[in-house]
Amino acid sequence: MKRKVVIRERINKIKDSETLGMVWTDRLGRAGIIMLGAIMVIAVFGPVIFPFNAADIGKTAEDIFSPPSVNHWLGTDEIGRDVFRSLLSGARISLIVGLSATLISISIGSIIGLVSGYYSGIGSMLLMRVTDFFLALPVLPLIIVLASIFGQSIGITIMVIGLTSWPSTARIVRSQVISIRERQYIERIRSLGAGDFRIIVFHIFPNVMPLIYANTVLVIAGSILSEATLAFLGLGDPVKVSWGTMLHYAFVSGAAGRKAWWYLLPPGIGILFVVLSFTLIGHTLDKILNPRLREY
Amino acid sequence: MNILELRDLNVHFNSHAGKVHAVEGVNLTLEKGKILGIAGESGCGKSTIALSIPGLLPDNGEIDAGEIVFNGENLITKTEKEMEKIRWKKISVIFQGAMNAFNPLKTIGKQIVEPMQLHDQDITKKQAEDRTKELLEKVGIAGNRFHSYPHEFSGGMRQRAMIAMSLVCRPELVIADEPVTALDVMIQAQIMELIRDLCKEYSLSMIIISHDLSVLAELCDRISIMYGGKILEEGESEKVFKNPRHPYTEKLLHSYPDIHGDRAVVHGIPGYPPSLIKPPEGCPFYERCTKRTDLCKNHDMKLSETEPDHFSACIFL
Repeated sequence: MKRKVVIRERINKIKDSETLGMVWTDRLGRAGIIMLGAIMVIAVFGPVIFPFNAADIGKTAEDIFSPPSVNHWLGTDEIGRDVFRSLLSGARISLIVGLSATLISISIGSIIGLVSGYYSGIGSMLLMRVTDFFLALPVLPLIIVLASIFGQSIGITIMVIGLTSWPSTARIVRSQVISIRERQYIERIRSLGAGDFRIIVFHIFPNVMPLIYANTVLVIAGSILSEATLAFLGLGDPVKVSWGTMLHYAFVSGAAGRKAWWYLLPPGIGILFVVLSFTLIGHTLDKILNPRLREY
Repeated sequence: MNILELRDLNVHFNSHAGKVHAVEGVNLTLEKGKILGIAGESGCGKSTIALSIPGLLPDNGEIDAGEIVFNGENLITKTEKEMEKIRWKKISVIFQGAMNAFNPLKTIGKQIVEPMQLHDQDITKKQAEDRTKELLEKVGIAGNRFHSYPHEFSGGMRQRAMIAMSLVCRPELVIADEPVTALDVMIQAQIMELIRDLCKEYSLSMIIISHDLSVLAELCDRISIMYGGKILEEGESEKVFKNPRHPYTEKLLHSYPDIHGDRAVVHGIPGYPPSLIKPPEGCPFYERCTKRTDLCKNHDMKLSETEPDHFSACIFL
């Protein structure tokens, strides 16, 4: 009984926290939060309850590509492993890669945006030209080349995605910083004797924070997709099976030809749901933070 | 004793159209504990003077000649590091449009504490907070509003908070750039009274810059009338207002309605201020002056005493 009250209070607290509460009131945003919450729970607890062992391969011919049954809820793959279990642990890998790559991408993008927006001069211009260069670069081929040079490991995948997806964040942050740095309160703070570092960190950064939030959510969706693309092309970490890796193996082992839908569909649907949930939340955040998109 | 002296100050701005001579050959003195007003229309160089004293001119502004002597030290020769020690601790500024000078994301209290943190490394958080609350009370805002955000304050309250902020490091000189512009008349009166009381209480010296002569008449001991980057008339404020000796001052005073005298139509001054990119020779007011003669074109604009403590640059004294 008591526990229920505590949980209810917690939920109310989340509802009251401004931004999240506003996302919750939007129907699409709420759908996004619920979907994401479910996927998070699956990614965190799923592999604990149903651990996946890559070496746990089938022993008889019947174990290979066997359709869903009581023993294997989503059937087995080409070497007789349980698809349901690998789906759960794949969720974890996909999310870890997506979130870590986003962390790198958003950090680089925000810092470059803040610095090049705040300072005006040759340095700032050079930073923007570098940003333009990365923006114009066809990212997918670049990622493929980098991934094939540096090898197949989860760390490399994270770095490669993180290091190629920051330019749009940098651009967005920069344009907002340029507008904020001309505000009167920044001038006032400068005249008080505050240094550039203090102005950027304590006064400008909080003002661009909402933009960074909204952008983060969208970058996560993009990163997860990129990871899936890389893994599908066979450039993922072969040991840490992600949804993309599953699709890759399903594809090369001819699961489609054998009509093994239980092998092909689940990772695809997983990716779809994760990306959709982040996009919905991002879209809603954007609607909240950008008054021009607000519906009355 | 003079706390501040400007000697032959020249300031220009570099712009696309050329050098803008915003301030030319300005001499001003301010005695300790007195209030000096600088009046003039838009673009006459008032704010430029206000910004050049604490060394806050924008990047394209430059002081090319003259001295700014504060407490016997020339501020122009000081490095940026040295100026940082003087700024706010000795000379603080109440900014033009102070209503917009607060960061909307931080509480008023935190923003008033900030200058203390920047300049007084020894001060504890508690001391800084106490001092802020004390000053807020002093300017007529309850101390518990420390945690309020700027949007929760009215315009007048923000102006008061801005004044509190300017006093937080116990400066000797406060420069107020249009301190009551954009406030309604009742609030103006309150703020002016507040400024006067604070000046007495903390024995502050003050420079008030305004285009509103009635504000200056109310507050100032001395007043300077500026036009086209030059000072046209200067003196004890009562003498300047009662007995203006420069045609421009005269016209400026006539362009305000008088609540005591007869009802009369107020007169504007036809024409525009001169371009400061190519300032005219001689008297800058020549183009718009009704008393002009050819002699005015070659006038050197030296101020001369018309009566004790009252100076005018007009050739016809």
